[in-house]
Amino acid sequence: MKTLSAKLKTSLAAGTLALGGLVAVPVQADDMEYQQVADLLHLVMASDRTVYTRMVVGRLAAKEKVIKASEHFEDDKALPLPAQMFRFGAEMVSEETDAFSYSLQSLWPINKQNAPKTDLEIEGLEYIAENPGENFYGEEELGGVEYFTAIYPDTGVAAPCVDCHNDHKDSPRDDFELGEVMGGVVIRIPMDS
Amino acid sequence: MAPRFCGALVVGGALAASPIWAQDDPLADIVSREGLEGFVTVDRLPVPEMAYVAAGREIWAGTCENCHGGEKLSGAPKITSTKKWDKRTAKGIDTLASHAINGWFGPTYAEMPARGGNDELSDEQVTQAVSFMVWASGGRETVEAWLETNGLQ
Repeated sequence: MKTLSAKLKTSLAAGTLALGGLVAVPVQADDMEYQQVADLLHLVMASDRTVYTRMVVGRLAAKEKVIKASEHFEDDKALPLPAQMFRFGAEMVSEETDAFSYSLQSLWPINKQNAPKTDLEIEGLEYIAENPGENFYGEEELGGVEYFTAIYPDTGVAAPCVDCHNDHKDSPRDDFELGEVMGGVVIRIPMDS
Repeated sequence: MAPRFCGALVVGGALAASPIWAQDDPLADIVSREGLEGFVTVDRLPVPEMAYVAAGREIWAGTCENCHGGEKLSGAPKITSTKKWDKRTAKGIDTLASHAINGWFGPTYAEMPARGGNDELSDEQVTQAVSFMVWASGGRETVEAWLETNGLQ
């Protein structure tokens, strides 16, 4: 009988592969590694977020200038920021399952709640900031449960992202450059016992 | 004598990968369809012999590397990849420089910010960086012809 985590690995892989249209890895991936599952999850997350950033925010706010994107999107009758869209998705996932979780964290968070909390998160965020283009993987025990934790660089890919973080009154840094790592996507999967 | 046969194949493969005529080409092992593996930092790229393009290398390192080194989510075409650059190079240096100076949205709304987001760069500096990127991404002949046409060699 498969454990919850093993089922997760298989079902996530199948779903992700179907969504992504990838064919390189068989859908019947019972032996899929945690890292591969995390990578595929991140691929979907990053792709959806990038599409929102470009096709919605970039097109309507930056190019056609018919609406703005704002941190206070309700008051301003504006579009949510891409990072906010990402967090809303993470919150919805956490309401549905504890089989995996993800979050957006930073060593220089505007909201202190998004600072790393575990030693591995700090190590991983420092690693991706110092090694452009690389991911970080590790295992950690939290509350008696072993987790596989993957951390992916989150870069400032558009000028509004960078400008907002540099200009925000609560930001610990004001010298981010375009394309620089500003934080990381943390994906955590409970491991088989 | 299978081992010897295998060894001959390995040697033959190495020769095929680096033909004699290309041994003096600083870009021979740099430029390819997919480009260099991993994130490309400036220290992995050769220094062009032309002063104008070499100046672009320094500017590229300071402003362009973060995205064009291989940050996929930015949508920026990765330096050294002919797959990413051939169609762009075909537009010509003047067009690419104009896009880089004034800003540009691609067909999927990926944004090239004006001057790479660095307002301190002059038009010439941006153009130098563009010439370096094209040079290091399979467009060496395009850059050389453009330099000659503009008296910049």
